[in-house]
Amino acid sequence: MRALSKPIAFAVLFALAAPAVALAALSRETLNGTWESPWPPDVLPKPGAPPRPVETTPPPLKPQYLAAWKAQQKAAAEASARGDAPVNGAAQCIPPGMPSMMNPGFPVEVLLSPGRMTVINEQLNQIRRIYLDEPQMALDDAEPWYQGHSVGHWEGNVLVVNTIGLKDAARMSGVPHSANVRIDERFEPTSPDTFEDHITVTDPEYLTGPWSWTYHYRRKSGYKIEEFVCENNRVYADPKTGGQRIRLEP
Amino acid sequence: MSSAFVPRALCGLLVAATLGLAAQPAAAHHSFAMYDNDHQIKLNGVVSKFEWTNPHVYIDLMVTDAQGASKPFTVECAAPGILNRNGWKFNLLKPGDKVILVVAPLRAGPDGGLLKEITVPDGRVLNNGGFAGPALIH
Repeated sequence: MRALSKPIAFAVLFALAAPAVALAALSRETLNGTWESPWPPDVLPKPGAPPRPVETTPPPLKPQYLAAWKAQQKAAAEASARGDAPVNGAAQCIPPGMPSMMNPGFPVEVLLSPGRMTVINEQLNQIRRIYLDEPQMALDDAEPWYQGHSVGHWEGNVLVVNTIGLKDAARMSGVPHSANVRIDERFEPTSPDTFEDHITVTDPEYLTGPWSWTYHYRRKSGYKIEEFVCENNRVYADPKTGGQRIRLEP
Repeated sequence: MSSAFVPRALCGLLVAATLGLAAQPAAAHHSFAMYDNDHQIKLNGVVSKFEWTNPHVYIDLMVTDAQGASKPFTVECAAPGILNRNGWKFNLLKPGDKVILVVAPLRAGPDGGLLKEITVPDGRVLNNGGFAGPALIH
């Protein structure tokens, strides 16, 4: 009896403890580390595999802005089809800023430290500093920055972040915004090796309602962020067509 | 990735397609539309420069065309972080190395292309990552 009860007691103890262990594994610290998209650009996809999904959603632009945006997207798509994709900001070493810099097209590093969460995107060395448990500054005090000004607080294991003060040139998918634009995010660990950033853009001047989507992240174990010197890239604009060209070197 | 996410993601893809959005990650450094992916070519070359820089690695070489003439050619590759995962290394190539390439040539000229596949001096065949896409010829 005594010999039987010991393993059973261990089994019961393990069964009780396992969910607790899983819960303990998911903490605020889970966000710390280096991350990539679950659909990374590293590996050749297997033949027939579905393409990487587009995580962003179409912007709910007001009608007076939507037509111009659609025309611009159409023109860019047609130019691309001709081989004349317009030179984008990133190709000219201009950072896209928020919220585009949260796209893990390149690896992203998250660093938690007292009072701060720092996000570094390998692309263009973009850095954002999220100040924790501080009130958001007045809009009138917010210098327009590509990454804006972010404050955050914890709700359980979820970091809730607000961003204001976006520079006009910080564009997500070419969508314009006003000085009153705000971005709200929820950084939510979903497993010890995954998290999601739920993003909502609000701009009463340009948008009919909230523009929301989710970026997904998977831990990129063992990866160390590469240096990124954009000025070394060889892309330039064709003076005749404006299309992207590569500087050839003999 | 929850199963509920997949239909939503595919839905987003369809919406993006109808809006004429490029179906590539917005955070890519630049478009590869300048390259003709449908008419890939195979080249023999001798490396003159191997430039290991982020966001793009470049290989400058002298290639031999079908008529046997030698000319300079520039090949664009993916980012170091991508190539490192595909068997590349910063010192993989050096001037004088003989390589065999499959590239998508520039639409605008005959002197450059986007790498699809490279055979390096030790005989290994390496690709250029998922974003640049596979070689269609070998």
